[in-house]
Amino acid sequence: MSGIESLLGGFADVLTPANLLMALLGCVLGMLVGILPGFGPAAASALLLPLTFALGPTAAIIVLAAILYGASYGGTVTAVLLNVPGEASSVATTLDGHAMALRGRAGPALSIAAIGSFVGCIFGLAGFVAAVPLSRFALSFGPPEFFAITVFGFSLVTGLAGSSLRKGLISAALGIVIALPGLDPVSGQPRFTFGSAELIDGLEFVAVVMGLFGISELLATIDHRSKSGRALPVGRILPTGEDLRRSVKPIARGSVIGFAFGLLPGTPGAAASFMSYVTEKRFSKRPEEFGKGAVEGVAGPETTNNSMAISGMIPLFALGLPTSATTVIMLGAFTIHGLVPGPLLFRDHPDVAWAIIASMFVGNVILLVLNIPLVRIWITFLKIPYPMLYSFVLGFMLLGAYSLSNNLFNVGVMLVFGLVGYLLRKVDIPLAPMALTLVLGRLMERSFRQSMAMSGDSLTVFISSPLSATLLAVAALALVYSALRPVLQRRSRAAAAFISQH
Amino acid sequence: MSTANESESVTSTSRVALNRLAGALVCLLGVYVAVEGANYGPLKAGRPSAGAFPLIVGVGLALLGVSLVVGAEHEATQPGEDSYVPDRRGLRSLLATLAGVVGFMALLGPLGYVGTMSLFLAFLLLVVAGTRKWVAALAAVAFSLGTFYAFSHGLGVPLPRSHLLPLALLGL
Repeated sequence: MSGIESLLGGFADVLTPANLLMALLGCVLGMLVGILPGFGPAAASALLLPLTFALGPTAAIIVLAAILYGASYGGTVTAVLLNVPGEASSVATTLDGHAMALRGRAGPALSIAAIGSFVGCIFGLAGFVAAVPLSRFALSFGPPEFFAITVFGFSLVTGLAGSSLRKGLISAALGIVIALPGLDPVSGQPRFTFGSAELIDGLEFVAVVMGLFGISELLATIDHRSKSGRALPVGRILPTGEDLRRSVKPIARGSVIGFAFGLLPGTPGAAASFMSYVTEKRFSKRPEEFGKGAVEGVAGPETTNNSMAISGMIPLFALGLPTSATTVIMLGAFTIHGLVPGPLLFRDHPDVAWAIIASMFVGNVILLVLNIPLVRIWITFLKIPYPMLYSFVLGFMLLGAYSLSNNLFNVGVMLVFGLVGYLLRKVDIPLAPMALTLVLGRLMERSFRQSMAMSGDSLTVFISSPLSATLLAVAALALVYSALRPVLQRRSRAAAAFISQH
Repeated sequence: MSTANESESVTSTSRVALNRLAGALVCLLGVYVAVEGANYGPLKAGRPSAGAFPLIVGVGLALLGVSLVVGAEHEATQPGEDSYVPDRRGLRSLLATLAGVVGFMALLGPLGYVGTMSLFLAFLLLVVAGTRKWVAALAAVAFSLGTFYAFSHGLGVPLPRSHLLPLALLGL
């Protein structure tokens, strides 16, 4: 069956009243949480993950994917209206989006952002469908190839590290340590269980992630006087013909830039959106308007963000490799529902896999329809005092952690990792590398030891397979690139300064 | 001007100290993991065994911790968006949150979900949000009952019920 035929089958599964309702519910809930200042898609999906526990696998992933787009757009709303980006990749949007809002053009800014997001997602999904055959290729993977994949995954840590590679590596190592408790994956010997029966199966991944991202985000937001949101008059909702004309090329370029960056796993979203912003400024006939409310400065970065968000899922679906905090949480949802993302997903559960992909199309249509009229409601929502919202969100998270296995152990795990995440934030240790290695650590150990056993303890097993050797070489290149990146960034900043001066 | 500079200097010094402390803790954790790994046995019949991976990771973590201690001054030059000290009100909110969650864990068994969640939320709404008492009580009970019925009846997730007679009689 071709990709298009499979996709049509997926649409047939998705276009049922129940699944459409799930997509709608996910979009609305994602936006509700994403609109809270400081809550990006990763935190939003961690907060709302418990909602999917009682659903079937297809419905659960449809809801979660919809939560991700909804939360992403929620971040855009605060970026434009309040100059508060919901996530790092929305920072570029604040530059001209908020300037437009201050000039009474919040409506056109949000509408263009919604249209750009929609086009970026559709472009990303078209590329996604084309990339699915990769998963069949990955079916031939053995332990050496899986080991090479995990090494490649670890090399991505450098892209998630932020400003300090050293702290990124510390975070990555801590992630592996968190994954150690439980039975040794090869011999079955208990390790780091401290005599606790609950730790025999290891720490509950979802409770750990809810703590690291959700609780720590809440604590970091409540520990200082929250910035009081200032609701701006939205005025005209729809963009003018001139706005649309000026946005066509930035949206087209943003789709391509975002897709390309998404295929480079571990690339920070902010880098892609700023690349789009700089590109639009360079191509613009009115560069002097940038920073003062140029619609191109909203259209390009917003399209880039969403195209990147979709193409960033290709490694998860095709190879089972989560490459960002949001895809790590999505992997958690897959696992909870007994699904294994990667090549086996398309072989064992093709109906589920294609239904999810089709739901992304449908979800984005729903989001586009919802976004524009709901702007005024989101502004009202932001007027609720944050400490009050904090109390209810925390209550909801306690309920979610308890529901994981109907005991208090996971509530404790969530609290402990919430505090760990909070303290790590205070010393600027990034959390995303930890989430990545938390997933990859055990797989790396198991595949390494299996490879050694099948090769008679010869390390050449990792370079005798062309695929494994290639992946290891790519990982080495990624590390070299990360070492050279500071130099490249300095040159890029110098170029941006040159552009802004001329 | 001099006050601002002094304040900046103190903040920067604190950040260096904080980075050093973090490095030392990471190093200690690494040493502990490595020692435990060595105890599990890194090799069996010349082949990597249960302790090999923890030993390697522990050594790596310890070295990274040392590196952070040594490079603390460099690391402190680029403070992130969360690297500030909580204000007094924030600290009170953090402590109230901790006390609330610990209390939730202690009371869930005897009081059941609805009673415990109501107390937890009312406490946070009063202490953290400064909500009026009757609003806090009403909102907490409404949230607790709403989520109780949504999860236990709507989603089929069993939530604990109270052993105490008044609540038990109500099926809560």
